[in-house]
Amino acid sequence: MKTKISRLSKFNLFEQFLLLVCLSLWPVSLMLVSTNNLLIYFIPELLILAAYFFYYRKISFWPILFLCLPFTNIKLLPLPLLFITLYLFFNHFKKLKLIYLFGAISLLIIFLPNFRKQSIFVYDYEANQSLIRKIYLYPNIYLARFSQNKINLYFDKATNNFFGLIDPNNYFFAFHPREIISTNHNLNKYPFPSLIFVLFGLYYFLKHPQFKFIASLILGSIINLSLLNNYDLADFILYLPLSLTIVYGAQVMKQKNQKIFYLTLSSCIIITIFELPRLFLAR
Amino acid sequence: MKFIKPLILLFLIIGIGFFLRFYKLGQIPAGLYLDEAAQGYNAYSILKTGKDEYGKNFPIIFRSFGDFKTPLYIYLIVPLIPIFDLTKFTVRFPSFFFSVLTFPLLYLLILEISPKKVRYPLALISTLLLSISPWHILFGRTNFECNVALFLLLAGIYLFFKGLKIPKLFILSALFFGLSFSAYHSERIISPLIVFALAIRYRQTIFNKKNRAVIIVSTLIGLLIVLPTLSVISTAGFASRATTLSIFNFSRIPAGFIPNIPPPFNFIINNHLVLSIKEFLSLYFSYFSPRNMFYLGDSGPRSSFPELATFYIWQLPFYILGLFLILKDKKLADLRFLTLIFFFVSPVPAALTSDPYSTIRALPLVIPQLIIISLSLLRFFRLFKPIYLKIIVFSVFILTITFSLIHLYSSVFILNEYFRAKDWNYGWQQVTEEIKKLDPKLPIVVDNARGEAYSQLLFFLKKDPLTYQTNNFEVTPNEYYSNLSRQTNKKIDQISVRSIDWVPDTKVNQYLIGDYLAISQEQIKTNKLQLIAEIKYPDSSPAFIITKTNPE
Repeated sequence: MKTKISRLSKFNLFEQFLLLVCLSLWPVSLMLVSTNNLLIYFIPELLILAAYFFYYRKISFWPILFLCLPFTNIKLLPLPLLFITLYLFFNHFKKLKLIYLFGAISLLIIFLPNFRKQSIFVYDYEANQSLIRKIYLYPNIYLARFSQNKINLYFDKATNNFFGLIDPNNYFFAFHPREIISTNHNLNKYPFPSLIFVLFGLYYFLKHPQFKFIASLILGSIINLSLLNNYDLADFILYLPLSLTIVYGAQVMKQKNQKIFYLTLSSCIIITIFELPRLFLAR
Repeated sequence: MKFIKPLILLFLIIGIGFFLRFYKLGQIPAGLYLDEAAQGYNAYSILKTGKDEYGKNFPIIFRSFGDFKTPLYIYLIVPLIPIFDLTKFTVRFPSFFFSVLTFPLLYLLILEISPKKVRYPLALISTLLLSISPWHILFGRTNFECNVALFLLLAGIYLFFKGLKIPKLFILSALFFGLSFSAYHSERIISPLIVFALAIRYRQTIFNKKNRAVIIVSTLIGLLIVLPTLSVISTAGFASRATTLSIFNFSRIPAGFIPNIPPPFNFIINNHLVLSIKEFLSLYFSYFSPRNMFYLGDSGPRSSFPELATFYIWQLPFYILGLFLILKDKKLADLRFLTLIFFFVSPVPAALTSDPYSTIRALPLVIPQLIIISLSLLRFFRLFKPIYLKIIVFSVFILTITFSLIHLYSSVFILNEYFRAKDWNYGWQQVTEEIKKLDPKLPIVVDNARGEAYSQLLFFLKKDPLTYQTNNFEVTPNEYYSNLSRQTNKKIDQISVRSIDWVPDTKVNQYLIGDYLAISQEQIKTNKLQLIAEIKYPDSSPAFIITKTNPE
């Protein structure tokens, strides 16, 4: 298999439609569980979609749309700063006016108290008590402090979120079918055969034409969501970058091996048709 | 001289691994789980009578609690009993021993299959990571057959690669592959798949005319060893385990089943095959998931340590980078092939069962995943050319390993003992010590509503196997593998192991023993029982209560 990707294959109208059907699972399942506060999750996604569109068209003011994110959902307060910093990092601190960075920092400072209430830094009585109980088990204070300390409490919550967010099973199998996480809706996000497209997309990810935008968005979103007390549903922010990775993986696969591409796409469609009515019936 | 430095380092690594597994081997975990006790007592029974607890001569698979245990581990305990007596140390020793033997074996295997450039450092890093691996340490300190099976599987693979140069070694390789097949359930799938993959890849060398005789002899030896297991494959006992655990068992409700769907639609909405395939794939991919590997670990309390996953969190970036490297770098040749085969085949048997991320069943996966991490660690080290940078990076690495070991100590020797004592069936040893002090003329009733308490009693009291076999008939030797009916009440001299029946049992002058659910404070009061002893868990919660009835 050659790793060089000269020109990406394009999809015909029918293939585009099929891919769109495959990508419809997450929005539909989100709509079914959050009918009351749907806009909190959809508006940020639309803003990011618009930013991506402007970025793709090289319209220079696209970062402004990121600065609007905290106004739609306070849980996304760190995202503008994280995204802009990562984007600057990937571009060797060029190609983006620093004014956006200052804007993002200002927003963070202004709304930080509101964000704190939604974050891992909110006081957890149970966790603190459990920590104290464990400290008494150690033979000496140094070992106790090393193994059980307050930083661990925050670190543990953040890592729990982080690993949930980078787990492929979260996106393709709603975690494990028998695993019910109390603070999570276990939404069906993508048909599981599309995992093949994602793996393909990730393998060639560095060659993606919009790599810097997508990578900054994925990393920024994961860090932002890891800082939340409960990231459930807010993780819909990852819908666009993940869907773009799936589409990219499909494009690369179509170029490399059309038979496997059609086989994977067909399985994706079959599973989507199987899963869609189940979403409604399982409510 | 070239070989001396790596050898010294290898001995140092073996020393670390040895210490981490041998330190308080018979004491920590503090309890003795019922499977450990059953394996130990069956070995004792074989030693004394040549028969297992049911009176069957040298069984091919052990009936035990009706779970039909693999035989090799039990037979390995037999010769150890005259040396170390029937103790917790003895039943855990084979696991420890083969776990330590795996280090030099992995080292040799990597030397054998790696390109010259990476050979020694990769072998050393992989062995070091294996020696401190929480996954491998857990099964090296406790009585689990999977560690012995992993050693045998690796030995089979190593000798296979050696056999490509010295064909006579194919015979030994077949011997080890055959033994691994009998050593643990997972290897019954993994070993044949790996042999098949190796045979396809190296078919030109193997099926060379010169090697014909050796290959025939090897195949015959392999078949001869697996033949006893194959001879019972069609029995109800053998099949029962597979069908109980399998996610493709169509009598069970599949994961994701939506109730109350009318018949014509039910076939589509709750399609058993699609749901089972989805569950299988979900389970399969969970073995590669960073969340399980670096954060959650196994959810089973006996197959994990508290606050410790199967790998250390700092290994995550190296795992992701390593995956990319192993897929991309074709120069790694045999190493790449074997790692990938091992990587993709190892979780298959575990994914066929409904338990999520079962580290016992997927233990062979520890090898490819550690090779992948080691490979990228090696690449990372080589990024730093100036000597001062190398020293800094190496120091940071040593510091990280030290922190990992402190974390391991905290988890294995402190938290596990405190929080998981109940899961390790802590307290039976203390119960038997108390039983020895009781009036031998009075009968004793031990409640078995929760668990197979008789195995621990037999183990710690070292009861005569012949007497036990005579007093506790369950099935005839002919029906040993086929009749699944169980006799839950057991008679061990004056001890009856059964559920307590309060009305008749309090009318007889006898001792009643049970956990805090079987004999509550309320029952002690109501039935006017005399409290003889109370055995507590390390967290001071009650474990077992020994009482005496007061019929007058």
